[in-house]
Amino acid sequence: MDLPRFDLSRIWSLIHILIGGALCFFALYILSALVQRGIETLMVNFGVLGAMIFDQTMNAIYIMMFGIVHLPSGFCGGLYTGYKTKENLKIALALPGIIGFVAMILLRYFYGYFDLSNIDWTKDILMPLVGNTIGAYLGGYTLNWPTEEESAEEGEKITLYLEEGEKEKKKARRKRARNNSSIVSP
Amino acid sequence: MRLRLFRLRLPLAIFIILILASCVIGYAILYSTLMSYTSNLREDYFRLESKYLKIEFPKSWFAMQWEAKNESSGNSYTVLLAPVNLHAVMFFRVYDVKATQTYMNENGLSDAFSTVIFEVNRLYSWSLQNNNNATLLFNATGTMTVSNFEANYTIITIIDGYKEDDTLFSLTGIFISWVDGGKLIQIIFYGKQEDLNQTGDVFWVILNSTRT
Repeated sequence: MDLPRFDLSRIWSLIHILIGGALCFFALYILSALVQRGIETLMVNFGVLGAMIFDQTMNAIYIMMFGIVHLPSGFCGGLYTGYKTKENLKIALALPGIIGFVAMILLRYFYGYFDLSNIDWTKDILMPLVGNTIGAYLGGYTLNWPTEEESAEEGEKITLYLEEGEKEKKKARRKRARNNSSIVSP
Repeated sequence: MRLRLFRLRLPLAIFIILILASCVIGYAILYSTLMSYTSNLREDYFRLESKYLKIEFPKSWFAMQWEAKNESSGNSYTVLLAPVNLHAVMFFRVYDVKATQTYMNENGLSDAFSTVIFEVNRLYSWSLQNNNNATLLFNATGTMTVSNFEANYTIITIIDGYKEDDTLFSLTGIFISWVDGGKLIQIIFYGKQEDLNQTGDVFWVILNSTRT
């Protein structure tokens, strides 16, 4: 009987995606706590804490959180996954951000900070999810992005291959010519 | 395709640009909000205008507002203000006609003055949980003009009504209430006696700026 064959590289890439998701989650947890505390402290120090009552202020804070919390945390997860995984990047890099986001939502739900009956889809779901995912793609592709030196090297390799091919062709032609002459000469 | 932007790999450059853009946009919105809501009369006060209430309050105070919507029992709107590092809190609550009726019927109340007494008793009951021997004193009771309406008020002191680190403090509070076209409006300001004395002047500025 044939035993099912496991593709080890695929399992490893799954593990790396999960680790990337965990990294994204930890970054999200630490950054969100730090940034929230930081913004509050800044507003207290500048004597404008009362501005928190206005919707525009909260929108401004959410936009800043998108850039300072969600993008970088996705970027961290993406960096690791992109460093360890080199195949199917389009799919592999979509997952760390989503895993980190879902883990954060679950944590907030179990600690009572996420009210399912009162969800703001844009601020609670869409912005963090999009931020994490974009961050993960940018992080992953930063490591797998072809640089100009690499592309120049590749260009050189191609010309070398072509030159070698030309030389071999010439050799083959010479051989054929010699063979022909040896057949004719006797 | 360009591989680099500002000598950085393209995804890294996009990442940095996105971070900077979100910070700049967020700051611009925040700055315009601070400018547009600053009171015309007092530079260190914000002007809050909602469909229920207009008030001015200090920029440095903590502030939040929320609306409780219920189709069967009516809607209520609350603004909470509190100075930072002081034990004092100020509530503004506006009930719509339906919510006023529900609130009055559920608690057996008949007019604005009875709602004042009801809220005082509620605070006193909370104080008794801290200290069984807390004593309620009515310092003054009467009427005053708020937002061009005749409002009922009472000033109270609850002796040893607040416990912090096993030390008892006295609470002081002012409870104001009036009915405007069937809508009940309540203003409650209470806190530790010493802290409330420090914020007394600000309270009167806020109260004088209140419009319903």
